[in-house]
Amino acid sequence: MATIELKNVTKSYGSLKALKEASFRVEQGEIFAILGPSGCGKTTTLRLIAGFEKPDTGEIIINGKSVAGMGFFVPPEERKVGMVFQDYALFPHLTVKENIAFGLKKMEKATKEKIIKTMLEFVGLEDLTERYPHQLSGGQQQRVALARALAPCPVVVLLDEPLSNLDADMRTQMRAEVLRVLRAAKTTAILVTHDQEEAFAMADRVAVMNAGQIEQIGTPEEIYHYPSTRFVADFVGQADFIDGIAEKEGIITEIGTFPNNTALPKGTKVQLMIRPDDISFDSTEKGNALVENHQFRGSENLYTLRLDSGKRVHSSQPSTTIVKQGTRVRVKATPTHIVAFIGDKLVR
Amino acid sequence: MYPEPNPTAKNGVSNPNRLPLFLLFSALVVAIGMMLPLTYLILRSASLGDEAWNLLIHPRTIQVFVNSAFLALAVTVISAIIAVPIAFLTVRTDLPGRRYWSIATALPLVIPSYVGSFAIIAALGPKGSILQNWLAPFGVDRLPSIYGWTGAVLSLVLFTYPYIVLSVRASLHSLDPALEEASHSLGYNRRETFLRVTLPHLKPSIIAGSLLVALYTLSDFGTPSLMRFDSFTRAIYIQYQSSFDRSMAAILALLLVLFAILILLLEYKARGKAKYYSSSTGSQRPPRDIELGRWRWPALLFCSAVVGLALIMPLGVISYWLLQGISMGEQLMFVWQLALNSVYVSSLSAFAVIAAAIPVCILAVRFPHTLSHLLERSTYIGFALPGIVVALSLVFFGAKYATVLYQSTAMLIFAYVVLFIPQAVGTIRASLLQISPRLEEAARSMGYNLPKTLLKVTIPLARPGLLTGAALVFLTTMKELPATLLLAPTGFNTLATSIWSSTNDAFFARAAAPSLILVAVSSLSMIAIISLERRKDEKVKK
Repeated sequence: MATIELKNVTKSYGSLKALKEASFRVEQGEIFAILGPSGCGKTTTLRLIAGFEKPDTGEIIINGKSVAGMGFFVPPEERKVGMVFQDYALFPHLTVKENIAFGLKKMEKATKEKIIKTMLEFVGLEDLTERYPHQLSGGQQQRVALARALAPCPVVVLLDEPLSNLDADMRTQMRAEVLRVLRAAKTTAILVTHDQEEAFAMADRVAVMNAGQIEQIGTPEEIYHYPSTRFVADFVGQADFIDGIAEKEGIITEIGTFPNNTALPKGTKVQLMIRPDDISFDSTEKGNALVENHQFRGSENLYTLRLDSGKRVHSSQPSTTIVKQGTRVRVKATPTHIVAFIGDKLVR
Repeated sequence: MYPEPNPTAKNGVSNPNRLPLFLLFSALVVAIGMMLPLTYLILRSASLGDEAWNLLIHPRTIQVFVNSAFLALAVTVISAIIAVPIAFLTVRTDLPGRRYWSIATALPLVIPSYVGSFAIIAALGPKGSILQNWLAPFGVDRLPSIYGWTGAVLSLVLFTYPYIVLSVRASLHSLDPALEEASHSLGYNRRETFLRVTLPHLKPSIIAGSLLVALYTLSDFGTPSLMRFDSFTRAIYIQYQSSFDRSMAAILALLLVLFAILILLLEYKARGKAKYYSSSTGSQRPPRDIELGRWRWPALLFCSAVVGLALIMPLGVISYWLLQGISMGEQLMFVWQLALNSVYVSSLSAFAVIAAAIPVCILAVRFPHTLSHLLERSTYIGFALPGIVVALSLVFFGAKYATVLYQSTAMLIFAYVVLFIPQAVGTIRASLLQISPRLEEAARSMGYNLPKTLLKVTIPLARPGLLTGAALVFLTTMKELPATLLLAPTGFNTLATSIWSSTNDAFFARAAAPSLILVAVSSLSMIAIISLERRKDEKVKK
């Protein structure tokens, strides 16, 4: 039995269709990410599961029991769904300890104290029990919010862009922290983010959303290497698309010929997806491209190469490799597998 | 209203340590002038020596203190009980006609206290009022007295509760809806969430608004004097008028100022705390309205009752007596003279206040320095000084040292400056902050010395702010009562003093026309303040 299940859930705000027939399942103990650009409907999905919004059509099922849909609606306070808000929403008039204790109703004092102590140790904030939210740093507030949501042992924890309010270095640190806590608590979690790195680092499975539509659900590796729509290919990681024509030998492109694994009929025009880490180049007079410029990114150098046809591709090179602007090069592509699109559709 | 934190260096000029002498001198003169009334009051009281202590523990003093304290308490509590539900209904529920109720419930602020008292007495007073006239045919010769506690509390509650409404509304608007959602996600229903999350969030703003009401209740002269309620301001006035030796008045005045300063400090702290509670980060989804269902009828009834009493009734009473007056052949010409006097003295006031405020503000904004900030802060003393206290101190001062100025227009204008300069300093300061010091530096680089730059560049650029400040002071002076009553030259009456004396003598018809004019004037100033606030918010957002 899946912990969370959505069946054909639709939600509109006036004329805006925020969610179109969304369906997916989240299994017990899984960390599930919904990834997509701003306005794609991911936060709406979260709010529907929490019970802050009512679906227009479809059904939402938590632990086998229907909580929304078919004219039925269970209010949020009865769903046992924990939520970590984007701006943490810590109660400013309560201390850290009181915030965490807030969701622990109808419990003996001794039990409460024990749970609070465990949670604080979990998130590493044992020394800050009597502080108020405004006296904490962003990262600390984050952890209190997480502890507060986890304390009542909810069925599922929902995280709305949990790390977007932190600065870059804090974010990497907190990513590992939050993941550790979620795993240790063995809790089911759904997190919503626009940051692909975050989704990949933390989730077991990822759903990519665009304009209210779920484009693909899979493990981070599946999404990255085998995107099923052009949007996913484009959104997740960097991608260049090269025109190619299917022939007997294979798919012929400007930068080489590739196996025609899907047996496309001769003459079909396709676009091949190539990632920068699949493209390499050598300096040679008899090249097929020019080095246009490169972007130093600390860990790598991202080169922009202009092919003779005018098309641009990108190549990821070690940070110490410097090739001058204007050098003539021969571009080679060595993808581990072929991902071909006709229009927006993936060729299978 | 309050001094903002120190301006950043980028608003100052290159050498803030060298304060220009002419500015410093003018600002110093102004600051000393502002401190004069309070200082003299303290000296006068100190000169009483041992007698001061006797007066302090005199039964009359204690009675006045107790009356004032209880009045402030009663008015504050009742106002809060009315205001908090109104604020909540107009911000968070689906009350029909919400926007109109928001405006209507805040409007009673435009009715000056003495006009409000006039309306209540003219409607419900024991003899000659509307109600008594209506019941006269039934043999009712005299109504139970509206004076004293009843009248004072009624008048003050009806026309100051909006302070709390505005404060709580602001807090409700800044309430992060995620807080209530978090509470729901942790298992609390609507009612529990309101009690455990929303109400604590509102506490600081309720306190801040309540303290404003308390301050107003203490400082107001119109209501206690007309309703014959023996609180500080009325007692001070009576002592001033009756006895040859006005020492008791001095002691009472000093006590009142201390009380006022205490309340101001508390209010400052409460407002600071209220700011902590508004989180402005993260997604700001507007919270969903609470559906009232059947409760909307009691809610509407409640709002109508409040607006009816606080807004419709006074306007109705004024109109009634106006028509009565006209039909009885009351001469309306006298109103013309009163209005002229008011305008005359208010214009002088506006001019003087702005002139005094400019050096102080320029010094504080362009030459940030401990001294310039000190001078600026000293002008804020006006907030803590009720009109009657300033008037009294100047009476003492004038009688002893400057008999030639006693009961002269000059002294009256001086009182206005002390009372209203804080308003102007706030406004002018804000508009100066908008002007980039680079413009002045450009002028300096082209050969203009400092005084010339200020004259040709800064002040012209600050003109909109100066005009707004002037308009604000003008309108506030039009409504001023106690200082005008004590300090104006004999026979010089303004709209405010005329309404007061007519009401005192129960000549209701005579008070109607001036009241109408003042309410109109007051409405203008409220519009001015609101548009100022809006402009300030927009500029701050950038």
